[in-house]
Amino acid sequence: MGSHAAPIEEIGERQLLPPGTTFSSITETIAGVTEKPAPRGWWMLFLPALCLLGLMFVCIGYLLTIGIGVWGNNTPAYWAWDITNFVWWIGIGHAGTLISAILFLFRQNWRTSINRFAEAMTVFAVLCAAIFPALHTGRPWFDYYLFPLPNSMGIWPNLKSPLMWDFFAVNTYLTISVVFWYVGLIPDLATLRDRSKSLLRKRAYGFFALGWRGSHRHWQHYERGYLIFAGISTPLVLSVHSVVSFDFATSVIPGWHTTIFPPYFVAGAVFSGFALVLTLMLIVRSVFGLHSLVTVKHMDLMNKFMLATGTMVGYAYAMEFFIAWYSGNPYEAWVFFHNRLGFGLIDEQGNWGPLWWSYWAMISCNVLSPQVFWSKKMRTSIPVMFVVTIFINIGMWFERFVIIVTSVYRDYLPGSWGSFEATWVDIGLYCGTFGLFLTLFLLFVRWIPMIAIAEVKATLPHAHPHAHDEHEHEHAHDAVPAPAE
Amino acid sequence: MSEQEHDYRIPDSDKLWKKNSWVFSAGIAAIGGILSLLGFSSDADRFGYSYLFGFIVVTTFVLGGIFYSAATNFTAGHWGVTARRMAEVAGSAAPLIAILFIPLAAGVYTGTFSMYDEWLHLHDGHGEHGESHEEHGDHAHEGEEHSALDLFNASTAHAQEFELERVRRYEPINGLHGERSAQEHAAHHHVLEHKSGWLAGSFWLVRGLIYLLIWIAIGIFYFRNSIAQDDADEKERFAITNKVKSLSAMCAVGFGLTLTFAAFDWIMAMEPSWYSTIFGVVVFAGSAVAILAIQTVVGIRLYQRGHVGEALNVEHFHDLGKLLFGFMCFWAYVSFSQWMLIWYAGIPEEAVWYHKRWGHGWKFWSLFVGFGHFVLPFYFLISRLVKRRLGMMAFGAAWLLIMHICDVYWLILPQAGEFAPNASDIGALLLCVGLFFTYFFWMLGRHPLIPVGDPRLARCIHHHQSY
Repeated sequence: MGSHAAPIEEIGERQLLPPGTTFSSITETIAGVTEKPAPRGWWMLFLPALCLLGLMFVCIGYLLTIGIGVWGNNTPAYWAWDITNFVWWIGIGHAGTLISAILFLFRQNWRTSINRFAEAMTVFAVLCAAIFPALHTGRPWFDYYLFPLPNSMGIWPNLKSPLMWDFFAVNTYLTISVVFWYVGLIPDLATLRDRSKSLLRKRAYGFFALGWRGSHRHWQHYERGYLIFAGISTPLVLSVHSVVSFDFATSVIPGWHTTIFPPYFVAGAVFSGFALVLTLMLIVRSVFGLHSLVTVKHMDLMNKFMLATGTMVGYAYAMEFFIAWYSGNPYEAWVFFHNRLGFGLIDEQGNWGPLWWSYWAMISCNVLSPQVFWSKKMRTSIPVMFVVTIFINIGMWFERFVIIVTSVYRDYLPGSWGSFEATWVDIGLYCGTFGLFLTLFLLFVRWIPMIAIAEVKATLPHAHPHAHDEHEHEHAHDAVPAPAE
Repeated sequence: MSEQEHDYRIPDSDKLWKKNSWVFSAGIAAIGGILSLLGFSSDADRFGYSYLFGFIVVTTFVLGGIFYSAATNFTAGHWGVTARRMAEVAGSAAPLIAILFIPLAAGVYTGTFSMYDEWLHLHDGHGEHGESHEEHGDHAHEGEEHSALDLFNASTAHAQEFELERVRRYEPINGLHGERSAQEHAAHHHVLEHKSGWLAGSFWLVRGLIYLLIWIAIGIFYFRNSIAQDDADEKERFAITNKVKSLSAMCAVGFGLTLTFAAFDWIMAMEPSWYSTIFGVVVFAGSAVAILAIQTVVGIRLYQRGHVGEALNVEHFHDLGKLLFGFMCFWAYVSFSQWMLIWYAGIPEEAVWYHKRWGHGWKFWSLFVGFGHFVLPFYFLISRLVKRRLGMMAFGAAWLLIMHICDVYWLILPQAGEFAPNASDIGALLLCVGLFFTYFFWMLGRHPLIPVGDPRLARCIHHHQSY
């Protein structure tokens, strides 16, 4: 290969995949997961996931029978776990779109080992998220009113409400994510089709492969389509969580109304999404033996991303706090110093806000724990990153809880103060959505190529058509992926 | 190939770039200086706003340069290596803004410039009063916990302030600096009193000096190391790249915090009761647009004159164009978020910022900035064709640079009152920007135009777009 394209070891550059990786070894490893019987580890995850899924249905059934009073939501905490879970799940999805679209536009080759996986998580996470607001309407069988459907009663959605913007933003996001994911899958589904030994597999994969033959014309259309989808998805990464943040920030409630919310929510979403992608990737990698395709180098880069986005989130916390003091608004200061921080302002009984610990859980998990990633040793240690990513997932849940509940449960007048306690249905439904997520996810890793075969191949040095050519301007198009085998 | 023999310096034979460029800039600065003096002598207070405008414009250039240097180093990308020298030179102009800060601080402290007066001279008539009013929220001192009763007392005064803001907003206004009633003044004073310790007196100045010192340290750090790398042997080159990279993430953190607080202290503080948590990000986005526009315009001209060979060519300008487009959209995104949330919530103390920028002749300018800094360039720069036609790309970048200056004007001048551009605005702008470009072109002429010692240089030179 041209000398300038080779990694410069002296400044820490490494080849992405270990030496000896070939087109065929990549196909064998990834397609093999769907072809061999499931390893015991898969069943050990799948059965508990099914149980949790059952729990979800039990909770939903109970809720539909009795009403949303079975949740702990009350006056003044009208929003609590439901919206917390909604925002948390939507946030989880963001890593997928960031990896598939934005990192693609930035030509980050390392994304190829994780993008498919993360995109699938996006789709499943958005499905889990949608459950909560759908149920919170109280009469979910009327949810179709959210669509601007012509009707004889002349009832139309109130488009001045950020909740409606949310509805459209999330639906757009889900639609584009599914289509983008599916388009990326086509060449790999064709690979599975061509390797199929049974007629059923051949038919099934063949149906979804849409007649892909790997011709130049197919690839040309595919590449162009992929680029367009990446372009369309990029603003979506920003818009969806910005719109979610508008649900809060357009109000005048102290703790909710602050102008940094849109980019802060986006950074937090990417932060939590990366954390869950890595948590699950570590498990799946060891269950299916994907060590040669998802290397420590990939994880090192993901950890850097988490450090960066975690720092952005920390910056946003700092700005909120500073401005809460700087604004001179006593209600704002009350939310931050009494309800959240837990010192500086006390109530008439001399107490701190009773939920102060949730704020500190958030700070410890989101701001403090990723700081270990300043050290390369920590960034490349699998036990450390496993623990930190779990902390981040917990911290990001608490972040939403802190924003939603601590802003409203002790507000302007002490006479209207309340508290919040989660019920078993709150907890059960949240755990249940994990069941839904994990069930779909485990079925995905078992039946669909979980790493983008064609894209990973394109990162190998010998995928470059003029790899040995010194006249670099000759190859106007690098990264022409190898044909499906 | 000739690329290999290229020394990437501006040759002595090119008088225009070697000498005339900075001499011409110095001439512009001199004209600006004369206009500034005239402006200062006719209305010193109004000139204060003009000067702040020129000062902030140049500050964003320098901060943009620091940002680009830090970002290309910690991301370790290769395509942006050759464009980095221009950013490093811009970043190394940090001492210049420290010098430009002197007249600003002097004007503010002597009372000649009144833009921060509501804050800075708060203690003048209320010395002993002010100290005891370290109200709610100040948790710096242990044991100073306040009860809800204190909070309630504070909030009654605050509610008055709310009401008066409302009256001020909806009642016809007799000029921006219309007389306040004694009661109104007292309530307004209360809000300021609460945070007087932050901005009053020497603390404001000390913080300003800290920001400037940090920027000088970071700006010079990148510039020095990159210049040293030009002539270093191979082993040393690797060592420098590793050193710079390992410190770049820390530099970015320091840069982000100082930029934010500088934006608060120098711009937001002009409207004492106004606050916005996203404000630092808005100023950051503008800075990134400014430096990318400068790199694109200057880079394209250098390329067309043959001074950079193929080290900066259409492939690099295409990428710079994408990044410029991206940051322009980011600017629009954060600016829109700030405006939309403030508009939707309609809290008077927040809305006052936009209120001043919508009335008093500023409406046209607000729309102009919105369209000129986003809508029009969006449709222009989104095209691949435009980004790869150097003439069009240079035009687009130059346009955005001018719009960035208009945006800074929009941030500062509405605080001075009616929309009334005058010669002192132009004078201060020419003075500050002229000085910046005098330094910038002079320094470009002294060193190679690209970081010739960077280990990723070859890869950058051979960079090409795959789509």
